[in-house]
Amino acid sequence: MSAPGELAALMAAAQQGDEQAYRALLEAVQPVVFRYLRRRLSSDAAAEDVGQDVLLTVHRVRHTYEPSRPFEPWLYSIAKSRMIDHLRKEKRLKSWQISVDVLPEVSGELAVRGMDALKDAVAALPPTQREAFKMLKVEGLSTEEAAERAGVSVSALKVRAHRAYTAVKRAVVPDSED
Amino acid sequence: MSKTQEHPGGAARGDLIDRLVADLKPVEAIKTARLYAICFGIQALVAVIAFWSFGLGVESLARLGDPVYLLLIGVLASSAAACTLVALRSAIPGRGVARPISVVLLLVPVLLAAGVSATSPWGGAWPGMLPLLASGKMCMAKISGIAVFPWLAMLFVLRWLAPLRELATGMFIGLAAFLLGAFAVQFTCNVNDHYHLAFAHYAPVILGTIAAGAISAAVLRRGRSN
Repeated sequence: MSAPGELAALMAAAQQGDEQAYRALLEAVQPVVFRYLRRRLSSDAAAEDVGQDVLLTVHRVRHTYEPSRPFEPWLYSIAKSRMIDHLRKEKRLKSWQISVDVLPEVSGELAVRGMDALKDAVAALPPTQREAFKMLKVEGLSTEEAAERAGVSVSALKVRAHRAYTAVKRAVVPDSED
Repeated sequence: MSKTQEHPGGAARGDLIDRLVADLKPVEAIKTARLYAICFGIQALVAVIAFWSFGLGVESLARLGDPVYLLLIGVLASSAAACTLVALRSAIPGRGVARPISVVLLLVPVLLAAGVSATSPWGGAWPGMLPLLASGKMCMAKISGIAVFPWLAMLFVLRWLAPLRELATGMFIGLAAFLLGAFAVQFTCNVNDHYHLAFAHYAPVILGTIAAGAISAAVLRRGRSN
Protein backbone atom coordinates (compact mmCIF):
# COMPACT_ATOMS: atom_id res chain seq x y z
CA MET A 1 0.00 0.00 0.00
CA SER A 2 1.11 3.61 -0.48
CA ALA A 3 3.05 5.51 2.15
CA PRO A 4 1.10 6.21 5.34
CA GLY A 5 -0.70 9.49 4.96
CA GLU A 6 -0.72 9.36 1.17
CA LEU A 7 -4.05 7.57 1.01
CA ALA A 8 -5.47 9.88 3.65
CA ALA A 9 -4.45 12.87 1.54
CA LEU A 10 -5.98 11.32 -1.59
CA MET A 11 -9.23 10.64 0.27
CA ALA A 12 -9.33 14.16 1.64
CA ALA A 13 -8.91 15.47 -1.92
CA ALA A 14 -11.60 13.05 -3.16
CA GLN A 15 -13.99 14.39 -0.53
CA GLN A 16 -13.46 17.81 -2.13
CA GLY A 17 -14.44 16.32 -5.50
CA ASP A 18 -10.96 15.76 -7.00
CA GLU A 19 -11.56 12.99 -9.56
CA GLN A 20 -7.89 12.35 -10.26
CA ALA A 21 -7.13 11.84 -6.58
CA TYR A 22 -10.16 9.60 -6.23
CA ARG A 23 -9.11 7.42 -9.16
CA ALA A 24 -5.58 7.17 -7.74
CA LEU A 25 -7.00 6.22 -4.35
CA LEU A 26 -9.32 3.52 -5.69
CA GLU A 27 -6.61 2.08 -7.92
CA ALA A 28 -4.23 1.99 -4.96
CA VAL A 29 -6.64 0.34 -2.55
CA GLN A 30 -8.35 -2.21 -4.79
CA PRO A 31 -5.44 -4.71 -5.05
CA VAL A 32 -4.82 -4.38 -1.31
CA VAL A 33 -8.48 -5.04 -0.55
CA PHE A 34 -8.54 -7.97 -2.97
CA ARG A 35 -5.47 -9.55 -1.34
CA TYR A 36 -6.96 -9.01 2.13
CA LEU A 37 -10.20 -10.71 1.07
CA ARG A 38 -8.54 -13.48 -0.93
CA ARG A 39 -6.63 -14.62 2.17
CA ARG A 40 -9.90 -14.93 4.06
CA LEU A 41 -12.39 -16.12 1.45
CA SER A 42 -12.62 -19.43 -0.36
CA SER A 43 -12.26 -18.30 -3.98
CA ASP A 44 -11.09 -15.55 -6.29
CA ALA A 45 -14.68 -15.02 -7.41
CA ALA A 46 -15.88 -14.43 -3.85
CA ALA A 47 -12.99 -12.06 -3.15
CA GLU A 48 -13.81 -10.25 -6.39
CA ASP A 49 -17.50 -9.87 -5.51
CA VAL A 50 -16.82 -8.66 -1.98
CA GLY A 51 -13.98 -6.43 -3.21
CA GLN A 52 -16.37 -4.64 -5.54
CA ASP A 53 -18.87 -4.33 -2.71
CA VAL A 54 -16.11 -2.75 -0.59
CA LEU A 55 -15.37 -0.17 -3.29
CA LEU A 56 -19.07 0.65 -3.57
CA THR A 57 -19.28 1.05 0.20
CA VAL A 58 -16.18 3.25 0.27
CA HIS A 59 -17.89 5.44 -2.32
CA ARG A 60 -21.20 5.57 -0.46
CA VAL A 61 -19.74 6.36 2.98
CA ARG A 62 -16.75 8.48 1.95
CA HIS A 63 -18.08 11.38 4.03
CA THR A 64 -17.52 9.32 7.21
CA TYR A 65 -13.76 9.43 6.78
CA GLU A 66 -12.18 12.15 8.91
CA PRO A 67 -9.04 13.42 7.14
CA SER A 68 -7.20 13.95 10.44
CA ARG A 69 -7.32 10.22 11.16
CA PRO A 70 -5.45 7.29 9.53
CA PHE A 71 -7.13 5.94 6.42
CA GLU A 72 -6.27 2.23 6.72
CA PRO A 73 -8.40 1.34 9.80
CA TRP A 74 -11.36 3.04 8.11
CA LEU A 75 -10.85 1.02 4.92
CA TYR A 76 -10.20 -2.31 6.63
CA SER A 77 -13.24 -2.02 8.88
CA ILE A 78 -15.38 -1.60 5.76
CA ALA A 79 -13.67 -4.57 4.09
CA LYS A 80 -14.10 -6.70 7.20
CA SER A 81 -17.77 -5.87 7.62
CA ARG A 82 -18.54 -6.55 3.94
CA MET A 83 -16.67 -9.85 4.22
CA ILE A 84 -18.66 -10.86 7.30
CA ASP A 85 -21.89 -9.99 5.47
CA HIS A 86 -20.78 -12.18 2.59
CA LEU A 87 -19.90 -15.11 4.87
CA ARG A 88 -23.26 -14.84 6.62
CA LYS A 89 -25.07 -14.80 3.30
CA GLU A 90 -23.06 -17.81 2.13
CA LYS A 91 -23.88 -19.68 5.33
CA ARG A 92 -27.59 -18.93 4.88
CA LEU A 93 -27.44 -20.14 1.27
CA LYS A 94 -25.67 -23.33 2.29
CA SER A 95 -28.34 -24.09 4.84
CA TRP A 96 -30.89 -23.98 1.98
CA GLN A 97 -28.69 -25.83 -0.44
CA ILE A 98 -29.75 -29.29 -1.54
CA SER A 99 -26.87 -31.65 -1.91
CA VAL A 100 -26.63 -33.06 -5.43
CA ASP A 101 -23.01 -34.10 -5.28
CA VAL A 102 -24.32 -37.55 -6.05
CA LEU A 103 -26.72 -36.84 -8.88
CA PRO A 104 -30.02 -38.72 -8.81
CA GLU A 105 -30.01 -41.66 -11.20
CA VAL A 106 -32.91 -41.14 -13.54
CA SER A 107 -31.79 -42.94 -16.70
CA GLY A 108 -33.24 -46.38 -15.78
CA GLU A 109 -36.76 -45.12 -15.34
CA LEU A 110 -36.50 -42.74 -18.26
CA ALA A 111 -35.43 -45.47 -20.65
CA VAL A 112 -38.72 -47.25 -20.00
CA ARG A 113 -40.75 -44.19 -20.94
CA GLY A 114 -38.72 -43.41 -24.05
CA MET A 115 -36.65 -40.56 -25.30
CA ASP A 116 -39.57 -38.50 -26.59
CA ALA A 117 -41.01 -38.04 -23.15
CA LEU A 118 -37.60 -37.01 -21.90
CA LYS A 119 -37.12 -34.49 -24.71
CA ASP A 120 -40.54 -32.95 -24.02
CA ALA A 121 -39.82 -32.77 -20.31
CA VAL A 122 -36.46 -31.08 -20.87
CA ALA A 123 -37.94 -28.68 -23.41
CA ALA A 124 -40.59 -27.68 -20.88
CA LEU A 125 -38.00 -26.66 -18.27
CA PRO A 126 -37.29 -22.98 -17.59
CA PRO A 127 -34.20 -21.89 -19.61
CA THR A 128 -31.81 -21.75 -16.62
CA GLN A 129 -32.80 -25.24 -15.42
CA ARG A 130 -32.63 -26.62 -18.97
CA GLU A 131 -29.13 -25.18 -19.36
CA ALA A 132 -28.01 -26.74 -16.06
CA PHE A 133 -29.53 -30.11 -16.99
CA LYS A 134 -27.86 -30.19 -20.42
CA MET A 135 -24.46 -29.15 -19.12
CA LEU A 136 -24.43 -31.78 -16.39
CA LYS A 137 -26.30 -34.70 -17.99
CA VAL A 138 -25.69 -34.25 -21.71
CA GLU A 139 -22.31 -32.56 -21.90
CA GLY A 140 -21.03 -34.21 -18.75
CA LEU A 141 -19.48 -31.09 -17.25
CA SER A 142 -18.61 -30.99 -13.57
CA THR A 143 -20.76 -28.75 -11.37
CA GLU A 144 -17.84 -26.31 -11.06
CA GLU A 145 -17.38 -26.10 -14.84
CA ALA A 146 -21.11 -25.75 -15.42
CA ALA A 147 -21.39 -23.04 -12.76
CA GLU A 148 -18.54 -21.12 -14.32
CA ARG A 149 -20.07 -21.32 -17.76
CA ALA A 150 -23.50 -20.25 -16.47
CA GLY A 151 -21.89 -17.42 -14.54
CA VAL A 152 -23.43 -18.46 -11.21
CA SER A 153 -22.14 -19.96 -7.99
CA VAL A 154 -21.79 -23.74 -7.64
CA SER A 155 -24.56 -23.72 -5.02
CA ALA A 156 -26.96 -21.91 -7.36
CA LEU A 157 -26.11 -24.29 -10.20
CA LYS A 158 -26.77 -27.31 -7.96
CA VAL A 159 -30.14 -25.92 -6.93
CA ARG A 160 -31.09 -25.35 -10.61
CA ALA A 161 -29.96 -28.85 -11.52
CA HIS A 162 -31.89 -30.45 -8.67
CA ARG A 163 -35.05 -28.59 -9.66
CA ALA A 164 -34.56 -29.68 -13.24
CA TYR A 165 -34.12 -33.36 -12.26
CA THR A 166 -37.19 -33.23 -10.06
CA ALA A 167 -39.29 -31.60 -12.80
CA VAL A 168 -38.08 -34.05 -15.46
CA LYS A 169 -38.63 -37.04 -13.23
CA ARG A 170 -42.10 -35.84 -12.28
CA ALA A 171 -43.00 -35.27 -15.94
CA VAL A 172 -41.67 -38.59 -17.19
CA VAL A 173 -42.54 -40.77 -14.20
CA PRO A 174 -45.67 -39.04 -12.86
CA ASP A 175 -46.11 -41.28 -9.79
CA SER A 176 -42.46 -41.02 -8.77
CA GLU A 177 -41.54 -39.66 -5.34
CA ASP A 178 -39.17 -36.67 -5.06
CA MET B 1 -2.50 -1.11 -19.32
CA SER B 2 -3.82 0.58 -16.24
CA LYS B 3 -2.85 -0.59 -12.79
CA THR B 4 -6.31 -2.12 -12.20
CA GLN B 5 -6.05 -4.46 -15.16
CA GLU B 6 -2.88 -6.14 -13.92
CA HIS B 7 -4.89 -8.01 -11.25
CA PRO B 8 -7.37 -10.85 -11.48
CA GLY B 9 -10.78 -9.42 -12.18
CA GLY B 10 -9.05 -6.11 -12.85
CA ALA B 11 -11.19 -5.32 -15.88
CA ALA B 12 -14.42 -5.48 -13.90
CA ARG B 13 -12.88 -3.46 -11.07
CA GLY B 14 -11.48 -0.98 -13.57
CA ASP B 15 -14.97 -0.52 -14.96
CA LEU B 16 -16.37 -0.07 -11.49
CA ILE B 17 -13.69 2.50 -10.65
CA ASP B 18 -14.58 4.43 -13.82
CA ARG B 19 -18.22 4.52 -12.76
CA LEU B 20 -17.41 5.56 -9.19
CA VAL B 21 -15.10 8.33 -10.36
CA ALA B 22 -17.77 9.55 -12.78
CA ASP B 23 -20.25 9.63 -9.88
CA LEU B 24 -17.93 11.56 -7.55
CA LYS B 25 -19.39 14.65 -5.92
CA PRO B 26 -17.85 16.75 -3.17
CA VAL B 27 -18.98 15.69 0.31
CA GLU B 28 -18.62 17.29 3.72
CA ALA B 29 -16.51 15.09 5.97
CA ILE B 30 -18.05 14.33 9.35
CA LYS B 31 -16.83 16.06 12.48
CA THR B 32 -17.19 13.61 15.32
CA ALA B 33 -16.98 16.23 18.07
CA ARG B 34 -19.96 18.01 16.54
CA LEU B 35 -21.89 14.74 16.26
CA TYR B 36 -21.27 13.90 19.91
CA ALA B 37 -22.37 17.40 20.90
CA ILE B 38 -25.59 17.09 18.88
CA CYS B 39 -26.49 13.68 20.34
CA PHE B 40 -25.68 14.56 23.95
CA GLY B 41 -27.44 17.91 23.47
CA ILE B 42 -30.59 16.11 22.33
CA GLN B 43 -30.45 13.81 25.35
CA ALA B 44 -29.94 16.67 27.80
CA LEU B 45 -32.81 18.57 26.21
CA VAL B 46 -35.10 15.55 26.44
CA ALA B 47 -34.22 15.04 30.11
CA VAL B 48 -34.96 18.71 30.90
CA ILE B 49 -38.27 18.57 29.01
CA ALA B 50 -39.19 15.37 30.87
CA PHE B 51 -38.46 16.94 34.26
CA TRP B 52 -40.40 20.05 33.28
CA SER B 53 -43.37 18.04 31.97
CA PHE B 54 -43.67 15.40 34.68
CA GLY B 55 -42.25 17.30 37.65
CA LEU B 56 -39.72 15.98 40.11
CA GLY B 57 -40.83 13.48 42.74
CA VAL B 58 -40.40 14.92 46.23
CA GLU B 59 -39.35 11.60 47.71
CA SER B 60 -36.88 11.01 44.92
CA LEU B 61 -35.24 14.37 45.54
CA ALA B 62 -35.07 13.58 49.25
CA ARG B 63 -33.34 10.32 48.39
CA LEU B 64 -30.45 12.09 46.68
CA GLY B 65 -28.55 11.72 49.94
CA ASP B 66 -28.88 7.94 49.73
CA PRO B 67 -25.70 6.45 48.19
CA VAL B 68 -27.56 3.46 46.70
CA TYR B 69 -30.05 5.78 45.05
CA LEU B 70 -27.22 7.96 43.75
CA LEU B 71 -25.48 4.87 42.41
CA LEU B 72 -28.68 3.82 40.64
CA ILE B 73 -29.24 7.14 38.87
CA GLY B 74 -25.50 7.37 38.18
CA VAL B 75 -25.57 3.99 36.46
CA LEU B 76 -28.64 4.97 34.41
CA ALA B 77 -27.17 8.31 33.29
CA SER B 78 -23.68 7.06 32.57
CA SER B 79 -24.97 3.97 30.73
CA ALA B 80 -27.24 6.11 28.57
CA ALA B 81 -24.28 8.35 27.71
CA ALA B 82 -22.00 5.36 27.07
CA CYS B 83 -24.58 3.74 24.79
CA THR B 84 -24.87 6.95 22.81
CA LEU B 85 -21.10 7.02 22.43
CA VAL B 86 -20.98 3.36 21.38
CA ALA B 87 -23.81 3.83 18.88
CA LEU B 88 -22.02 6.77 17.29
CA ARG B 89 -18.67 5.02 17.19
CA SER B 90 -20.19 1.88 15.70
CA ALA B 91 -21.63 3.98 12.89
CA ILE B 92 -18.23 5.32 11.84
CA PRO B 93 -15.94 2.81 10.07
CA GLY B 94 -12.69 2.22 11.90
CA ARG B 95 -13.96 3.28 15.33
CA GLY B 96 -16.13 0.78 17.14
CA VAL B 97 -15.79 -0.35 20.74
CA ALA B 98 -14.30 -3.44 22.37
CA ARG B 99 -16.81 -6.29 22.47
CA PRO B 100 -16.73 -6.77 26.30
CA ILE B 101 -17.76 -3.14 26.79
CA SER B 102 -20.64 -3.57 24.35
CA VAL B 103 -21.81 -6.75 26.06
CA VAL B 104 -21.70 -5.19 29.53
CA LEU B 105 -23.65 -2.17 28.32
CA LEU B 106 -26.31 -4.32 26.70
CA LEU B 107 -26.69 -6.19 29.99
CA VAL B 108 -27.13 -3.03 32.10
CA PRO B 109 -30.96 -3.13 32.30
CA VAL B 110 -30.90 -6.86 33.08
CA LEU B 111 -28.25 -6.32 35.76
CA LEU B 112 -30.23 -3.41 37.23
CA ALA B 113 -33.42 -5.47 37.36
CA ALA B 114 -31.57 -8.42 38.88
CA GLY B 115 -29.64 -6.16 41.26
CA VAL B 116 -32.64 -4.34 42.75
CA SER B 117 -34.60 -7.61 42.92
CA ALA B 118 -31.80 -9.41 44.72
CA THR B 119 -30.80 -6.65 47.14
CA SER B 120 -34.19 -4.93 47.51
CA PRO B 121 -32.52 -1.75 48.83
CA TRP B 122 -35.79 -0.01 49.75
CA GLY B 123 -37.90 -3.06 50.46
CA GLY B 124 -40.96 -4.26 48.62
CA ALA B 125 -43.71 -6.84 48.87
CA TRP B 126 -45.28 -8.71 45.99
CA PRO B 127 -48.54 -6.86 45.34
CA GLY B 128 -49.92 -9.28 42.72
CA MET B 129 -49.70 -8.93 38.97
CA LEU B 130 -52.68 -6.65 38.38
CA PRO B 131 -51.81 -4.07 41.09
CA LEU B 132 -48.20 -4.15 39.88
CA LEU B 133 -49.37 -3.46 36.34
CA ALA B 134 -51.74 -0.73 37.55
CA SER B 135 -49.06 1.05 39.56
CA GLY B 136 -46.46 0.59 36.83
CA LYS B 137 -48.31 1.46 33.65
CA MET B 138 -47.77 5.21 34.04
CA CYS B 139 -44.01 4.77 34.50
CA MET B 140 -43.83 2.42 31.50
CA ALA B 141 -45.73 4.91 29.36
CA LYS B 142 -43.51 7.79 30.52
CA ILE B 143 -40.30 5.86 29.83
CA SER B 144 -41.48 4.90 26.35
CA GLY B 145 -42.77 8.41 25.63
CA ILE B 146 -39.49 10.01 26.71
CA ALA B 147 -37.42 7.45 24.77
CA VAL B 148 -39.16 7.94 21.43
CA PHE B 149 -37.73 11.37 20.68
CA PRO B 150 -34.01 10.71 21.32
CA TRP B 151 -34.32 7.34 19.60
CA LEU B 152 -35.76 8.88 16.43
CA ALA B 153 -33.26 11.75 16.53
CA MET B 154 -30.33 9.35 16.90
CA LEU B 155 -31.71 7.14 14.16
CA PHE B 156 -31.81 10.15 11.87
CA VAL B 157 -28.21 11.08 12.72
CA LEU B 158 -26.92 7.53 12.33
CA ARG B 159 -28.67 7.03 9.00
CA TRP B 160 -26.47 9.79 7.70
CA LEU B 161 -23.37 7.95 8.98
CA ALA B 162 -22.33 4.43 8.00
CA PRO B 163 -23.44 1.80 10.50
CA LEU B 164 -21.87 -1.41 9.24
CA ARG B 165 -23.45 -3.59 11.95
CA GLU B 166 -26.98 -2.28 11.84
CA LEU B 167 -28.51 -4.48 14.54
CA ALA B 168 -25.85 -3.64 17.13
CA THR B 169 -26.02 0.05 16.31
CA GLY B 170 -29.82 -0.06 16.46
CA MET B 171 -29.76 -1.80 19.84
CA PHE B 172 -27.44 0.84 21.27
CA ILE B 173 -29.52 3.80 20.14
CA GLY B 174 -32.60 2.08 21.52
CA LEU B 175 -30.86 1.29 24.80
CA ALA B 176 -29.50 4.83 25.12
CA ALA B 177 -32.98 6.29 24.58
CA PHE B 178 -34.76 3.93 27.01
CA LEU B 179 -32.08 4.30 29.69
CA LEU B 180 -32.52 8.05 29.39
CA GLY B 181 -36.26 7.50 29.84
CA ALA B 182 -35.64 5.35 32.93
CA PHE B 183 -33.24 7.98 34.29
CA ALA B 184 -35.78 10.80 33.89
CA VAL B 185 -38.65 8.73 35.32
CA GLN B 186 -36.51 7.74 38.31
CA PHE B 187 -36.72 11.39 39.43
CA THR B 188 -40.44 11.75 38.85
CA CYS B 189 -41.55 8.45 40.42
CA ASN B 190 -41.99 8.12 44.18
CA VAL B 191 -42.34 4.35 44.23
CA ASN B 192 -39.05 2.62 45.01
CA ASP B 193 -40.35 -0.85 45.76
CA HIS B 194 -38.02 -3.31 44.00
CA TYR B 195 -40.86 -5.09 42.18
CA HIS B 196 -42.01 -1.78 40.78
CA LEU B 197 -38.48 -0.81 39.71
CA ALA B 198 -37.76 -4.12 38.02
CA PHE B 199 -41.14 -4.43 36.33
CA ALA B 200 -42.10 -0.85 35.51
CA HIS B 201 -38.69 0.80 35.06
CA TYR B 202 -36.21 -1.78 33.77
CA ALA B 203 -38.38 -4.31 31.93
CA PRO B 204 -39.57 -1.54 29.52
CA VAL B 205 -35.92 -0.70 28.89
CA ILE B 206 -35.19 -4.32 27.94
CA LEU B 207 -38.28 -4.71 25.75
CA GLY B 208 -37.94 -1.23 24.27
CA THR B 209 -34.30 -1.88 23.38
CA ILE B 210 -35.18 -5.08 21.56
CA ALA B 211 -38.04 -3.44 19.65
CA ALA B 212 -36.09 -0.26 18.86
CA GLY B 213 -33.08 -2.36 17.84
CA ALA B 214 -35.10 -4.42 15.37
CA ILE B 215 -36.85 -1.39 13.88
CA SER B 216 -33.64 0.66 13.73
CA ALA B 217 -31.75 -2.19 12.05
CA ALA B 218 -34.46 -2.46 9.38
CA VAL B 219 -34.40 1.30 8.79
CA LEU B 220 -30.60 1.43 8.67
CA ARG B 221 -30.40 -1.56 6.29
CA ARG B 222 -32.94 0.09 4.04
CA GLY B 223 -30.86 3.24 4.10
CA ARG B 224 -27.82 1.23 3.07
CA SER B 225 -29.52 -0.37 0.08
CA ASN B 226 -30.94 2.95 -1.22
